[in-house]
Amino acid sequence: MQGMKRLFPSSFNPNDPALHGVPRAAQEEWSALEHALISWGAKRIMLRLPLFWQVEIPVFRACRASGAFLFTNDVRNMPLGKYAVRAIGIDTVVTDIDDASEFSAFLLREDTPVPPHWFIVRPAHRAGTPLPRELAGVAVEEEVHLSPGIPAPRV
Amino acid sequence: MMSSSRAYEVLRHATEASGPDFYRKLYGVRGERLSVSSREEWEALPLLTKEHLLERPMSDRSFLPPEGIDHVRATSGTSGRGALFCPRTPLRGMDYRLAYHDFKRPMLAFTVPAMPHWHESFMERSGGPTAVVYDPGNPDASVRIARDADVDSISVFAFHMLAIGESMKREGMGGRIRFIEMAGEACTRKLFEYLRETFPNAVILPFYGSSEVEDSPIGMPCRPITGEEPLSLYHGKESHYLEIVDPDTGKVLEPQEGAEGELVITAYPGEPCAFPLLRFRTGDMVRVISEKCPAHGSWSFTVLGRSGLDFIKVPGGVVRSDEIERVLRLFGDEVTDVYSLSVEERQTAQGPRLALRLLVEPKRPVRLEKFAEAVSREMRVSPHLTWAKGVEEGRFDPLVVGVLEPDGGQKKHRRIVRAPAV
Repeated sequence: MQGMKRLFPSSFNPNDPALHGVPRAAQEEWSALEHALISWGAKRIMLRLPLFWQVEIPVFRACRASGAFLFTNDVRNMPLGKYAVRAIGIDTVVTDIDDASEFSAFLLREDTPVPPHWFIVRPAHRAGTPLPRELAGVAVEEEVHLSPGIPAPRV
Repeated sequence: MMSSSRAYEVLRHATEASGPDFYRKLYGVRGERLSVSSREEWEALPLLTKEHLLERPMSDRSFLPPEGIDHVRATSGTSGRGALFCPRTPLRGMDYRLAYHDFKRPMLAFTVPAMPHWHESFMERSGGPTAVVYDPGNPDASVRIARDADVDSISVFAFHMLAIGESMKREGMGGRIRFIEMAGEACTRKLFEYLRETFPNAVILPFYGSSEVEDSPIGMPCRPITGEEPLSLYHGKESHYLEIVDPDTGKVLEPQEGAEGELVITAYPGEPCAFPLLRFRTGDMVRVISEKCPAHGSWSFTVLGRSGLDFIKVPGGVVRSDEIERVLRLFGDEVTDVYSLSVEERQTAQGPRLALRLLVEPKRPVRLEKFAEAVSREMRVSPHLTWAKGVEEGRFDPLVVGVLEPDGGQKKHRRIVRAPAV
């Protein structure tokens, strides 16, 4: 993997006609996610970020570092996500701010407990959006991304 | 293929008193473990079904703690029995791919048949190219990233290939693709012709797997898809013990050339293993093609379709999806091999009668009534009975042929649909 580049999309909008791949060293781990998973003792992770964001592999590596397994849930398939929370005890959801709001509301409507840990990615233009009320009382870690998979420098 | 003695060892391992009690309960084991030493004892073991797996939560079934599980896969739930969550360890036994491609450049991969992170670990031995994740909801965005990553291989579901092909045509990428691995369904001649034209330099390899089988693929492809054979050919791998059974009685059938039955699999990849699979009914009907595959030793087979879905019993025989495809290919100048067949049972004074309505995709204007007669003469429901002969004998209604509505879909056609009895 030495010297290998992983490409991430240049835009959050999949229909952006100028969308192209942005290279980043593949060996760079998703350190904020890895740190959050380890500190929570997370063992059962659900990934609900869009697949075109190209974060499946970095999320998997963070899972390995935490000793957790990964379940990838298509963002359009909330019912399956609900079954996964119930059937395999998902303890952590990795998603973006919009989906965090929609999915947590869906779970509560469906009488399904909201998992205790959420790692939420915020596009830079959504940095100020408040967290959904449904996530009150659960552990939330947030990270702003300049484009999918590219975290903004922490200040 | 795994030897029977190795399968007996897997049984002993899976029923150890120190392990999960899943199989101990299924088989009613009271001692330290369950041992068998003969084929008769083995075949007397109950067959494992998806219903058995659905009865117990994944945490009860898994032989590994969460930290030992690589990822979890869910079955689609399309069978109407609900989604099943299956723990997975990294795939093994896929080195056969190296005979077809060098994997030195990045690959475009969906999460099926294998996870992108697994593809990346597989490719590490070739210098470590990356995997670009395919998003079916956003094919153009995925393909643009694949373009910039300079991918030369693809691993996805067969029904993804049209969207990928169209997007790659727009990006001028078709010629650079050298390896395509497709899961999920057999490749129709129409899809094959499309792929051949769009990706002229690609080897096209089928992948036969199942969400319930941690140690996928179930069968290793004997050779690439050439478009000459209607269905793909597979043989078992070292970590699988395969049996075929009568889908109605569960009785084991000899894997003789031409034998057809439901595939039953015992799978154990070695450690780590999240769930040794013992005598699992795959629900897939297969036909034995060769008792001893010249290239791979063990018996080879082709997948006919889902048991109870892609074939239908009729008086005196069976209407099978692969037979319909075979017949349609005889008329390849007139129609493609994409079809939908509805089966209707009609009550008459002489008892129930079956009527078939076959919808086809003409390549040019076709006289449908004449075409129906020609198909009836060719379509066999048993070695000695064609549909036309059955009509003559009053067993069946005459075949009716219509035209498929074009909708661009590859997946929902080419199958048998049952209509309610009227």
